Amino acid sequence: MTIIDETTNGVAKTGVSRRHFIQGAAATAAGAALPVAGIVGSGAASAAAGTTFRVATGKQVHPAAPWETSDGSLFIISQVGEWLCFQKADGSLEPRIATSWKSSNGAKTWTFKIRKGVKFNDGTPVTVEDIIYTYQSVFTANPSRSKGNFTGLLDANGIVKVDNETIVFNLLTASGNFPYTVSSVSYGMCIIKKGADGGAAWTKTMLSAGPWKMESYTEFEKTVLVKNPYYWDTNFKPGFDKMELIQYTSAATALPALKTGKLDAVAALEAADALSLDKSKFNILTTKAGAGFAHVHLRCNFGPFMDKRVRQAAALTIDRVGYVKGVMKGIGGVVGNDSVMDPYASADKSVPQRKMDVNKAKELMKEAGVPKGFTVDLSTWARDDINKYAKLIKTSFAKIGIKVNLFIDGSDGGGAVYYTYNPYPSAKGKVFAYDNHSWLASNIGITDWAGRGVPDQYLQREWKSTADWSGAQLNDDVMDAAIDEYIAAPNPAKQKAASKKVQERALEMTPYILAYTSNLIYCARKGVTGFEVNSMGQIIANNVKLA
Amino acid sequence: MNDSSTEISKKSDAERLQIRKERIALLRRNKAFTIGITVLGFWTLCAIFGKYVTPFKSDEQNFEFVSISPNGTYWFGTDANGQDVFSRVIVGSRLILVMSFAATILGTLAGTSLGLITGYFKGWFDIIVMRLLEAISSIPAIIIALLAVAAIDGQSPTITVFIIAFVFTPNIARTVRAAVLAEAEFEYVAAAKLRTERTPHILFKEILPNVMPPIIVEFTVRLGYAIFAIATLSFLGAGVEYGSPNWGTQISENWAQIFNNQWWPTAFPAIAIATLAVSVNLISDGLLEVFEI
Repeated sequence: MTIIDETTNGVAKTGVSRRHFIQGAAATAAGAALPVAGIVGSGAASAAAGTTFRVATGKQVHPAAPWETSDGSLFIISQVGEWLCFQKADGSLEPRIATSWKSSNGAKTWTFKIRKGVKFNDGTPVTVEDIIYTYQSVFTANPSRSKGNFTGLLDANGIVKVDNETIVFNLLTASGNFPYTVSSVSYGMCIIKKGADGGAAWTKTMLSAGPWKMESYTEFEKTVLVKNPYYWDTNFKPGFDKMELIQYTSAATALPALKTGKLDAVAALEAADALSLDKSKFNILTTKAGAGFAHVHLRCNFGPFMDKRVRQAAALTIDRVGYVKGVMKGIGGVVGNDSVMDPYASADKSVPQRKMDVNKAKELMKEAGVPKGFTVDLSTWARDDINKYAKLIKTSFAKIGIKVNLFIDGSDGGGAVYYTYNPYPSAKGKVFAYDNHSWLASNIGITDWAGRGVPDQYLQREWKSTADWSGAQLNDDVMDAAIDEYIAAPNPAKQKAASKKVQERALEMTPYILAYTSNLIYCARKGVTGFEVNSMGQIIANNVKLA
Repeated sequence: MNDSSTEISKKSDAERLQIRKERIALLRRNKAFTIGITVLGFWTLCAIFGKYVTPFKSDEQNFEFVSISPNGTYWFGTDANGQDVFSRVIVGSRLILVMSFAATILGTLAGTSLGLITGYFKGWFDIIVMRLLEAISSIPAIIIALLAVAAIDGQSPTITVFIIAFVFTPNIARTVRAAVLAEAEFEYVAAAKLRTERTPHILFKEILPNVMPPIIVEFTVRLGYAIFAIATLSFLGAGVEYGSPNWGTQISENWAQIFNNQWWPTAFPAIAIATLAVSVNLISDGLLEVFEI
């Protein structure tokens, strides 16, 4: 048991990750100029108990708007927005605007019952028409960052009003986990008013039906929220009046503010930072085995990783156990077989885990005709954990002669490299070369994913040939079939059988290296109770009390 | 060539030789210079032989010993990636020394050439070139360097060297020009002209040796600035590869750990930068004293 585990009061069974902070180079410079003497060791958890709950969050890359959201803006939307259902800290779903849901027709049809009396934060009622508009607009909006969640699964015609309290989703293909797709896991898909612009203009009103209402919003800096007086849940009685979400460039820069009483909580932080906190003054919270991860794509359709033996060799160089134990301080689950399935209950545990084996890796490199290795660029964005992961890849690959040059962009929190090609499509028979120094278009790059309660989105948006965020561009029929089988599986037994196929194919093809899963670590000063963050990084402050 | 001009030229050669001997003797007795050259020599040796003598490979990660404070095995401790700080500091001297020397040499060559030409010819060419150089000088050097590095290639040491050299060129050119303006009035220059020597000969054989003292001093001053510029750029993530054993990069990677009371991964590369910069400044001070500039 780690030190952190001893103080855990927010434990998730599955589906956890961390969404934390971006470390930009310029911000690093600014941070370095901090008057260190006045900060280090101050440790005073002396925040005055008041009616404002102040939380440090990660940086935005895009506006906190449904159609445009990404990264740090999800912290904001998760407070003002409301979904049909919401992923709890334990990875399961709780009813929100929907009171219940059920599948029929072999999980190809999903029926949602809508709660009566739900209102937007301006007092107007939420109608079935609003909900239908929200989901239909995902197919027409531009940009529409959630569209990929529905690709091949649903189209605009499939969303049907039955009556004022019932909506049916007629899917294009069966999906056993579909409620997750219309939950807060699709974090930009909060319900908006019929006809509303869900783009950047939405940030002026943030009109949705969540527990909090926007009072002021300074993009990329700070959002002040007040209670939504029309919130449907009568049990919503937080012990404070206002919430401030303050963006920090890195967890490290937020901690001094926490220690000096300028913050009540930090929504996510590195293990080393957490372990440095005085446990008599701060509650350090974490979730157990998580599903959030940052993974390395190995480009399958061009460049030096086209040969699967080279990809397998690269994956065999990594000391996964050592990294989790040493650098991650033991807070994280080891994933050995490089598939996204392992953290989930549906995973087949009989599939062997991949372990470091440098000799075997060298043999594979020899077989592939590159015994002396090669030089390749790794492109990603700057963030504490990603920086460390990139260094792990560099030192690991070097064992078999692969010289990795790191291109880590911290200029704007990674937006420039990440979103150069947005979305980054996969298409069989086509090679999208683009600029090799752009994140998803590179030979190798690191991408982080927040923790979903089910792996469907990862499979749909990254692993399939129709994926829109495919860094690896695997484009493999066998994998596609396994994924389709998994998504359509209506029960755990069939999911497990399909999961095994995905896991084995992932081990064989190795389009991605998933060296570990990451746990979400967050903290609050003593006196703050009821503070939770779910595996997506969404803050759950409804039951927070301040003392 | 007439006899009197030849006599002047020979005399000036003999004088220069004598002055040089005296200056070397003075430098040997100058404490600031001696300390500076010793420290610089130490880092130069580290740059050349460092990777052969460090206890660990600079990139090696040992996950059993992550963020360990200085001890008998890890003299400077380990960083958050389990890498030996001592080995990285020693090996890290190479890149900053090579880059700073290369940038300063290039800038000095370019600046000296421009200064010689503008100071000798004067006229409209001098006016135009100097105004251009003044315009470049008016922008803070680090801003130009940062923008240029970011715009051209984020982490190419070679390009970074050229950019820093470009940024230094105006200052060196102005210094050299001022010296040349004074030298051009001396008899030996007139004598060379009387001998109908070609202009390059007058510039590089006659004038240049006589303006070397300010050039040498300017070189050392610029070298100090180059060290800071490269350290700053690498701290900001520009100019060198992330994760490389480079002092500025090491500070950038580890400074946040100061808040966790892990000072060693930041302090030692910072001290290394300071000692290198101070050593170069001491050399510069020593040269200033000896050259009586």
